[in-house]
Amino acid sequence: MIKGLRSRHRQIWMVWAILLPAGILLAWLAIPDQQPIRLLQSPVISPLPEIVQSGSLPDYSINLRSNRTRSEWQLEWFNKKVLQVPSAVVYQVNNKNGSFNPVNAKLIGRIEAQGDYWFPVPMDSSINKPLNLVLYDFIHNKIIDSIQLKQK
Amino acid sequence: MGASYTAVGWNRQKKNYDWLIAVFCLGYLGIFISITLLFNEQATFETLLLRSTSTLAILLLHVILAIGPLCRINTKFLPLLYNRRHLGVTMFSLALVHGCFGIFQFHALGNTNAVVSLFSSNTNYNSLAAFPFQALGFFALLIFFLMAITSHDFWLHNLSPKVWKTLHMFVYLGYLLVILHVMLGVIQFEKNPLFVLILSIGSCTLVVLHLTAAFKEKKLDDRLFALQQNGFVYVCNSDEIEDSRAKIFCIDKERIAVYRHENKLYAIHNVCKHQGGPLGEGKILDGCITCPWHGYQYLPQNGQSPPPFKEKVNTYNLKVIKNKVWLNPVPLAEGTERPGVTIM
Repeated sequence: MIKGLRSRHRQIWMVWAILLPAGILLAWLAIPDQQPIRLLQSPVISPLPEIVQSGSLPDYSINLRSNRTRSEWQLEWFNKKVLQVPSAVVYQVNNKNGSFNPVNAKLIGRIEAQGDYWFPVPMDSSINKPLNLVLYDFIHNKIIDSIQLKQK
Repeated sequence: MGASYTAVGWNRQKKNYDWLIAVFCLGYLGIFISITLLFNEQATFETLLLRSTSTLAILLLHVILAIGPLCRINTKFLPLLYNRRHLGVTMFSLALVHGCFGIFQFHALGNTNAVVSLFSSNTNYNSLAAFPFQALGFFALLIFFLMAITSHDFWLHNLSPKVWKTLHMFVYLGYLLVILHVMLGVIQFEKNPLFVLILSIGSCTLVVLHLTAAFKEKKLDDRLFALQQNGFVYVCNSDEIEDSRAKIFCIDKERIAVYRHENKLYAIHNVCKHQGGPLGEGKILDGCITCPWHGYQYLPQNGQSPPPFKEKVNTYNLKVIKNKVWLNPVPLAEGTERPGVTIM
């Protein structure tokens, strides 16, 4: 190696001796504080005692639950299989046959892995009618399933 | 050393070197995947592939960058230098698997062109925590690609050793980009300080090794030769040079190797024509000065490679007076014949 090249190596590593630790330190300090993950579903929710409406599809069975005074409402969703889509949210829609637009629908909750889910449903007059639900893939903007519950 | 183009001039050392690389890489990948599955059964094939190849590539990059200074500090590491470029190509291949699969996994399945998506899906260049770290990895991979495709001697001859060396010094920029790619990428999500610690130890080791070797070399370069006589400089006593070995002196700007062979002294330019290896750190084998890096050979009396090879280095005038070696630092034309100076 010639002298010029040796000097260049030395100069580069003298600069790197500052840049490398500085880069590592800055990147380490930049690590954001962990944000708590907020689920749409409360983890401590327990099912209400009475089933008011229910419905079933091959991959899920769904119940609308309430208490005796009908002051609280709850959607119970049994996910029998793992979903084949990365995102799936449940919407309540007013009209079963009309075209679906998430903007006009009421978001109830998000379905992820196989298992049981309970979502609080806000008090609404439409709850006295059969509940229309749409399971929607919001990444691909696609309806996965829709179902109308039946009165018990 | 070869007189014509061959893809790889295989010999026993190169085969052993490559076997060692292959066994090490396969062993590492096997152990990494086994341990990951042991502690995380849910790990997917994609995760295993991305992480095992990337960590191995980074480990190899550290080894590659440590070989140079280690050889300057201790000649026992020279066998590692012999076939370092195969290690470099292996490292690039692993980085390529990581890079290509990463691009496929995270960018190729959308509506945008994968490479365009790499640069356009995240444009938070003003944020450290959300910095588009994949772009850093892309540019590092580009540097390693250029180095890998020009690693053959064909390119060394065509680009000239100076251009080739300068191009290959971009590995240092590549290394910095890799460190930032890791720190601004996976470290922002995998918050375990152990990863930062490992990376810091690796970087600090490289910095210390390179600076130690650099200042050792600088000491040799800065040595002053005060005693001068008719253009000749007193450098050492003749008995300080071992037989078939050399001592290196840096006078003015260039290093000169003074070799002792069969009770005669010869002086040639210290820089090998192949990759700039230090000829004075080699030895005389079969009557030829042999470069310690890749075995290029030169005749001590004229600095020419034995036929059919055509490499030539400068020779220098020497004289010995009362056991004292005097060297004229003005170089003679490359390949100039100078009879050895007999030691009394």
